Order: sequence, then structure tokens, then C-alpha cells
Amino acid sequence: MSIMNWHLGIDIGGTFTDVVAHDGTTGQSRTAKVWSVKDDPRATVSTALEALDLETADVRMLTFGTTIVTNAIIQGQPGRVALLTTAGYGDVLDIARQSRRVLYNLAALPREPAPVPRELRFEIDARMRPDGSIATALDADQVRDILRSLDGTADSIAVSLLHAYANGEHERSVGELCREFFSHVSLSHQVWPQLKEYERTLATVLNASVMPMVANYVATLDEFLPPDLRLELFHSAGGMMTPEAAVSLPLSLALSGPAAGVEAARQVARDVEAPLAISIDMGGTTTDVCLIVDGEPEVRDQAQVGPWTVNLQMLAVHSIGAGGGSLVRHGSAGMQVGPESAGADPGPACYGRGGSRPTLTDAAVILGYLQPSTHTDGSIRIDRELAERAFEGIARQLDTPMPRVARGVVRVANANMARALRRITVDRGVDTRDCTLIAFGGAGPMYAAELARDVGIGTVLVPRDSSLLSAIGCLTAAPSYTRQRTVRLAGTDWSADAFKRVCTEIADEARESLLHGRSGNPEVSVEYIAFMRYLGQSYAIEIPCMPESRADELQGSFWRRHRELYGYHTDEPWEVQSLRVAAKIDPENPEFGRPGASGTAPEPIEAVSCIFAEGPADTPVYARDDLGPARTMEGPLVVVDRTSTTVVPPGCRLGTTPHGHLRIEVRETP
Amino acid sequence: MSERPDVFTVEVIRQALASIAEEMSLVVMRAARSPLLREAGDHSSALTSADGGVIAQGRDIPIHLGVMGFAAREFLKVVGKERLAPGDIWYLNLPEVGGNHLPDVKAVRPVFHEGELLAFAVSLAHWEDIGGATPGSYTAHATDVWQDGFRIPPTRFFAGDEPIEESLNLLLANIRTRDVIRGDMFAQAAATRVADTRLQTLFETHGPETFKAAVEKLNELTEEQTREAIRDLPDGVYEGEDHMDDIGPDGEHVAIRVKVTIDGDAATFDFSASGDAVEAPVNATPSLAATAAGFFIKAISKHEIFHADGFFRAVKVITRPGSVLSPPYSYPVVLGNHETSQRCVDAIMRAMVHCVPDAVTAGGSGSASVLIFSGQWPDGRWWSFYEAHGGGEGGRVDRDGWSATRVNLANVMNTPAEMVEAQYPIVVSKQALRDGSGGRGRHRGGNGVVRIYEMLGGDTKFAAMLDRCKVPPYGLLGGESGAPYELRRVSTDGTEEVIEGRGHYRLGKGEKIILSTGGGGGYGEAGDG
Repeated sequence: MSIMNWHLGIDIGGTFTDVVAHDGTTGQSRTAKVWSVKDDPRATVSTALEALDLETADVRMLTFGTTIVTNAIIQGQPGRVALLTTAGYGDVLDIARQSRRVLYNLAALPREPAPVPRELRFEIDARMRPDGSIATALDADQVRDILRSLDGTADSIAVSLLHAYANGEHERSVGELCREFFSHVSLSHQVWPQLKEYERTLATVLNASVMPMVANYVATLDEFLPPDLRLELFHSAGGMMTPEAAVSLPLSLALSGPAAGVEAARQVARDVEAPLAISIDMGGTTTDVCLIVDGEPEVRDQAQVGPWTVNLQMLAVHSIGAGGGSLVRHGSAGMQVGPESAGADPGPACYGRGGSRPTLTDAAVILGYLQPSTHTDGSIRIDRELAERAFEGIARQLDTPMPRVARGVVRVANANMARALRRITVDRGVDTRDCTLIAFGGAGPMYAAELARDVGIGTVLVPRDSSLLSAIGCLTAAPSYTRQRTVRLAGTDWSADAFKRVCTEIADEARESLLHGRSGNPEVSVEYIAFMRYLGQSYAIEIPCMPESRADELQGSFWRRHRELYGYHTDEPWEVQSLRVAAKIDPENPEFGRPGASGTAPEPIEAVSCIFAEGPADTPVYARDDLGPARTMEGPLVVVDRTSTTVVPPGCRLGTTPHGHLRIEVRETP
Repeated sequence: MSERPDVFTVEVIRQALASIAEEMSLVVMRAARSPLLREAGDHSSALTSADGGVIAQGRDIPIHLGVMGFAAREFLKVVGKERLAPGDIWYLNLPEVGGNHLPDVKAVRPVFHEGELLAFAVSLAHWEDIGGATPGSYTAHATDVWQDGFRIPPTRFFAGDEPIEESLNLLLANIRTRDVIRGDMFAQAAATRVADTRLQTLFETHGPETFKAAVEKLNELTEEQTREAIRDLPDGVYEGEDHMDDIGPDGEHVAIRVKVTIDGDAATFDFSASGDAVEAPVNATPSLAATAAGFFIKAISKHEIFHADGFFRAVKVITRPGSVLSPPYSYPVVLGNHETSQRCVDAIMRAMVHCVPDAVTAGGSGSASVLIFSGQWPDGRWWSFYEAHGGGEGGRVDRDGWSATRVNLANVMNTPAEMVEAQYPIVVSKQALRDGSGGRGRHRGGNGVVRIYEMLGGDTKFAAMLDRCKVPPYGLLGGESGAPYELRRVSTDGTEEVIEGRGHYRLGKGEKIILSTGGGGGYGEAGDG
């Protein structure tokens, strides 16, 4: 028996758990897809290990992506939180930003109710000024009285005081008092140290609300796993964190699934050295897209988590309601595909699980892209007759042959996705046509080539094991921790010392969180981003920098980037509004996923008839495992593996990269 | 003429048009110079067909709903097709040429394909200054439109995509923050340029005839969606009215009256009985009355209605020339945009409660309650802080009104207190719900908001632009009114006085302003409890 050296990446979803294992000694890898066991991480890990034919003793390290935080927030079942605010601000969660979610619906609730009821909100006499000086001192006795009065009515405490991003001293003192009474305390300057009282308070409260649950989850795993097995969790900003860090900032686990997919796509973009790439992860209900510039995904600090717009550091994943299960309707709004979805249950009609309404996937079956015979994952059966039956009504209503209807449905779905691609690129001043499309998820590789052609993109990549990509992301990611703080340093009276001091402070905090619970003394690399703007603007642009950066260097970079983005710059006064620091440890398995070379010409496993934009065509179907590098083939053709289907339309050319990714060169329709 | 496009092509073209309109808005946000556009997002983009009817709108600002189509159509009438050329960009803001108020300036670009005019790209942006009597161009006591600001009749500022410097200079010489506005004008121009490029691809992909046929189909779909919504409303004639606050101490209350006729699948909103135009900035324009009607139908419809001109094939909106909703060209209009327009929606609600009592909402926070603080830093630089507020929503048949929210045509966010304190010499000592301000009823109105501003610097100029201080948000079907808006000034010795909601003031160091926004009206009679 070899020395235990397996590293597992596990992506636990609501329905399926994907797992990828890599043996650091032999370079061998194994993958599996198993059913998730609800609310029981131990059982899920056991099932996954069984499917991989491994035991806990074989495993050196385990990295988790998990949806527990998102699900708890969406389902509204997290714990009860008591909130302490500065006097005069107890209603901050009610007032929010005063805007409503839906514009044209009088009946709709304007917003979600405040997540803390009034009887659990307390105002205390402690106030900072925006420069971090104390306006009103803290009264510790007042805080103790409040905490005593709580007496079991709350599970955790959130503390959010005015201007705490500028000086966390009051919050830290209150936090210490709280810990005499409560084990779960969330302080706003530690959750999101930035200016905007509502956003910071909301993030702090949501963080507090999931603390008990995540602590419990981690404890359950800890008990079950051998003590020398290292456990890591995948966070929303695209990296790994220790269980200890996750317990104190559990909100950062929200959206870890989509982030893990993008992390793997980032690796693909680096493999092929694509300076601009878009990851497109198309599942049953939604499609997530993210822009990757120079091998780094865009990061933002706002995300939708269930009903809440939450501020936290996360990858800038834009989500739209289009997926394989998107329902096709023809009515007063013309022809619509999505955002309503048949979901996982009953799913598309062709799955034969009780769905009768037509979906995008049913259209793919009618067009021949998805074949009953070649879909090799035994868990799902494809029934062409059911797909056709679902489309009968619309075909009759439109008096149009069914294949033409199905083609139209694909065109409409692509138009919807094209809009999302344009939005994320135009927003960053990038030309969509300069990007490489990296397609994955169950449905992504099926439509990507045609979508690319619609928006003028020349190259599509379908990563190896594309349907397990989130799990691969867990495996290849680096341990990292990202922290952003409002600093407001004006260029007019610039102090190099002050800049260096805050850079170092934030870096120390990030490093501390990164190393929290980590043994040894790993080498940490630190990246600094200054958010710069002209005074009076509140929209800042990202400028990479160093603690030693001089004012003239910062100004030069700022002017250059401002010109690139907006076409001009001025010599008006500027400021560094906030600083983002990312601390990272180099990953251990950057080379995962290289296939063995196969020089032989592959044989198709069957020939089918598919219908493309150009019309019907005889189309060979290949098994993905049979495709080796350095061989190109002309479309039309279809490539299948266990869980996904890649469609290469006529006029496009398919190749395989040295890393084992499929590469489709897209050409305009003649 | 090519064959009629299939339903799929229509939807593909609709998505592409929506995508282009969205891109225009993103370009404005990225390229604009003023924070009002870049952060508050006070701008809209639209594409119209060659006749000026809207076919796609990006970035939804309900107030601009009816404005974009009016602007393009009236522009076309005034300028005439023969004077249009590719690459030219025209700007306009006249209230009488499809406008709303002077700060909202529209850039209009005709889009040609092989010599044929096929579309217009329209970019509307709120300019942070448009000249006039006061900085920021919000003058509470304006008695004519020249005090409101500089009037721009349809004028070319770009020819063949190159700026016409003489014309630009004339315009910018009348603006306080000329560099900022120049940047914003270029941003608007860039948005229309992007639209032109992307439309050309669309024309080439589908062919101009298919494009035109698809646009007509879009309008037909929109018309049918609208008619479907109107068919759900019982036939009849319904009247309602509401009032603006008086236009100065002891002045009159301006009446907004509507007669809504539902006849099968067509609706008419006749505002003719509204009061006469007044020498105060609360006059509105016909495009805003149309916006109010459009908002109402969309907001009670059970299904989506596209933003396209086909809507107005099923809905007719009438205003009487000389009235407060169609004033003579010399009358000031700056507050009509977000105060009087909201009162039009209120009048419609009060009419339609007799038609669809379960669908309407009682009166809510119908004033944007714009407050502008400005002053000078010790080093002489000027600062200026502008914000708007929400309040209580009215009750509904099935629920209480929400607290602290924007309603109907308004949806701009507030400014975080931390941002106010960090950027201006002002302390926000409190922001809280205004308990008890919602009107009682079977379902009560939501509560307004209290915000207290304390001046840290000496001599702060303060302009207030409130409505609903005297005429409170109404209850419906026996529900009580919400508390009216209220503005108080607290001097350094602690004495408090209520001050006029529309006025200009100077505040000394240590003085406070307390804004209390209105509560929502109740719905139905309150029970015994």
C-alpha cells in the first residue's frame, strides 16, 4: 500500500455531490458523482469515499465546497440574532436604502423584512467619527445590562457601530463583553470593514445568523475525520480557508459552489494563456458567467444571496435564469425560454420523471444533440418520444415543423445568454469578441459553439471533466484570504507612512485569517489593490499597488486606467478610497488534469442525424476519452462523456489542448 | 418585402435590442463625469423605430417611461426627417418638445442603414447643473422657466461624430460646472455611437426588412399585452383627484384630476380637469402624465408588458393645454418631474379604487423630498450634497403598507449616513422610523423616516423641495391619511420651528434640520382594536 497522499475536492450540492481525488504520490486521479445526503456531511463524505474506493486513512487533505450557508439563508432558517448599534441607528435594517426590488408590481413586497425584530435590537452610547476619533465614549455597564436582559432569547450577537471601519476599538470592547455571555459574536469591522452602515450591518447580522450552524457542521466533520487529515473550505472569493476561519466568518462560504467552478475555469484560462476569458456554467435552472482577465477572475464585493443583496468579497459571477430545464412558452410575451424552469424535479419532459412542458433540453433531444443511446450516465434516461410530445402543442399552435421550433428555441436561449456575456464585458470596458469562452456545467458545452458564433467569439474551450468542474476547483485552488477596508487617504496631503501602515495592517489581518488554524509556516504571498477615485465620486477603480508605492506612481497608474476605461483623466484631487489585500499560499496540485497522450485516430461510437442552423447533417459521435491531443476534426460532430455533451456545429473545428481540454475553433456561418 | 419573421426571430431581435439599450446605459455609467449619473444612475437609454416610437429601453427609471418616446417623436416633428444625417447627434431639453424638466437632457442620434433611416438611439441624462437661478438648478421660488435653467431646442452638437465646438461653447458658457457637463455630453454621445455600431450588425444579420417587420410585431405584442391587462378591468368611467401643496404661503392648492375611461380593451386617461398652470416649479409636461398612466397599467397587470410604443395604441392620455400638466412654454417645471408626476399616479389610484379596489394602494411617500445642502470648505472650495428620501407606503387590500420605501415612479436610493458624515461637514445624529406616522385602517400605512442633520460648518445653504407637507398621503375606503411630511429647524439654543417645505435657507454652525417623511395612508376602516 502506498503512503496516504490523496487530496479530495468535494462539491456538495443540494442534489448531487461531485468529488475529484488526486494522488500526490502517483499522480493518479479518480472522480465520482454521488447523491448528497441531506444535512449529513459525514454520510456524504462516506458515500463519496466509497464511490472512489478510498478510506479516510488514505486521504491527506479534503477541500469542501458547500451550499449550506446559501441554503440556510434562502430558506430563512438561520439562528436568532440580537443586534447592537450606535444610538439613533436601531432601525438601520428597516430603512435599508429605501429602494424597492420590483418596479412594476404594486402588490409585491418592496423588500425583505428586517432580519432582526425590534425587540432584539439595542442602541448603545458609543460613537466614532469618520476619521476614527471617538465622539461618544463606550459605556460598558450599559452593554452588560443589555446582554443580561437577553437571557436565552438570541443564539448569537451582531455588533455594528457607526464608522467602525475607521476604528474598531469600540466594537472589539463590546465583543469582549459579549463573549462573556455568548459563544457566537460577529463584529461589523471584521465582517466588512467598509463605509455604508446598512450594508455593513446586514452582512454582520447574516454572518451572525449562520455562525452556530457552521460551527456545528465543522465540529461534526472534525469528529468523524482522522486528526491528521487537513480540512479546508472553499470560499466565495475563490480560494480555500481553514475551518477555524470559516467558523468566525461563515458568510464567506455563501456562493462557494459557483466560485469553485470559476476557479477551475481560471486554471483552464491559464493553461491556454488566454488573456481574456469568460466562464459560462450552464446548469438546469441558471447560467453563471464570469469574466477572467489575465488569468484572474473579476472580484466584487456585492452578491445576491437568496433575497438579500449582501456585501462580501466574492467572484463577480453574474447569474441569469437560463438553463437546460428552462421552460418554453408561447403567449402574450411572444416566444420565451426561461426564466421559469422545470428544475431538477420533474426536470425536462425527456427525462420521463413526470415533466410534460417543453424545455430547452427537450429541444436538444429533438435536434439530435442529446441521444438516448449515447448518454452514458446511467442515472438519467432520455426519451425522445416524450420530448416530441412536449413540443406538439407549440408546433401545432405555430403551424411549424417541430425541428424548426426546436432550432428557434435554441436561438432564443442563445440570445438571452449573449445578452449576459455582453453585460459583463461592456461593464469592464472589454470587447466580447476578444474573449475565449470556457463552457461547462451540464448544458454549457452543448450550446457554447453556436453562442460564440452569435457574439463573434472565435474560440470555445470545454474543460476536461467539465461537469465536475466545481469539485476540480476545490482541488486546484490556493488557500487565500481577501480583505477590503475603507481607508480614505487623500492624494492632496499624502503620507507615504500612513499608506504603508494601513497596507501592512490589512495584510496582517488577512495573513492572520489565512493562517488561522494552519500548522507549519507556509510562505504567504500578498497582493494589494488600491480603489482610487476623484474626490466626490463614489465609484472607484482598481489599481494594483505595493505598500511602498509612491503617490506619483499611484496617480500615474490611476490616470492611465481611468483613460482606458473612461477615455479621459483630469488633474483633480484623488483619493485611495479603500484597499483590498489578498493573501495566498501557493496551491499544491497546480498540475492536476493532464491526460495521457493518445495518437490514434478515434473511431466514432455511432453516427446520428442532427439539425443545425444550416440544416440537417449526418453527425458522428465520439467518446471524449477516445480523443487525444494534436488531432483536429471538422464539425459537425458530437463528443460525449459521462455527464455532458459537446456539440461542434458544421464549419467549426475541434481539437484537444495539451492539458486535455477540448478546443473548438468557431467560424462564421458561410 | 421579405416574409414576416417567425416568432423566434422576433424574440432574438427583441433580446438584441434590449441588450443594446443596456449597453448604452453601461457606457453612460462608465464614461459620465458626474456622480449623479455614475452612482445614482439618474439616466435612461432607449431605441426607437424610425417614427420615434420606443422599441427598447435600458435601465429602468419609471419616471422616464413615457418620456423617451415623446422626446424622439416631438424631436422628429420639430426637426424634420430631411435634416437628419448619419453620425449627427442632437441634444434637447425643452419641456414643450416632449421634455420633462430642463436638467434631463436627451441626446438623439438618427441611425441609418444604406441611406435609409431605421432607428433612433436616445440617451437621457440628468445634468447636475443646467444654469438657472441657483446651483444645481433646483429653484423653489422660480416663477418662469428661465429661472429653472438654460433651454436647449433641438441642436446638433456632433456632426459626423465630431463635436461642433462653437455650439458646445455657447451651451457650456451657461452651465456652472462646464467640465463635468462636457464629460457627460460626450458620454451620452458615446452611448449613441455604440448603439449605432451594434444596430448595424443587427441590420446586416437579419436584413432591414425583417428588422422593420420584427419591430412592428413587437409593437403588436406590446399592444396585445396592454389590451389583455385592460380587459381585466371592469368597464366604466372613474374619476379621482389629488392636490399639490400650496404654491407659497396662503397660496392655492393645485388640483390634479383624472377621468379614466375603461372601454373593453382600451383605456383613456383624461387629465383635462386639472388646475391651470401656475407660476411655480410644479408644472409638469404631458409626457409625465403619460408616464403615470403607463406606470399604473404596468403595475397592476398580471403579466409582463414590454416597453414599446405599442402600449400607447391601447392607452390614450389627454392633457389640456394651459393646464398644470401642459403649461405654456414659459412656465417653470423642475419639480413637476418627480412631485406632480407622482400626484398624477395618486389621482389615478383614487379614481381606480372604484374600479379595482383590490389592485390599488393607498397614498404613500409621494414626495421625493429633495434636500440640497451646500457651502464652502475653509480653503474656499464648494461642496454640495443632494439627496432624496422615501417614506411610508399606503396600505393594500391584503397587507399593511411598507415603511421607509420609495413608491410608484420613484426608486432612487438614500445616501448612507456614514457617507454623508465622511464627505460633508454634517452629522446625521439620527435616522429612524417615524413611529405612528402611518394612517390607521384595516391595513395601516407604513411609517415614514426621521433624519436629523446637524451642521458642523458655518453658513450652510439649504434648499428644500418637499410636497405633501399640507396635503397628506390619502387613505382609501375609510382608511385614515398618513402623517404629512414635516421639516423643522432647531437653532443652537434648542428652539424648534416648523419651516416651509419648499424654500431656501441659510444655516449656522450647530443648527439642525429634522426631516420627517410622510406615513402611508390606511386601507379600509380601522377595526375597534
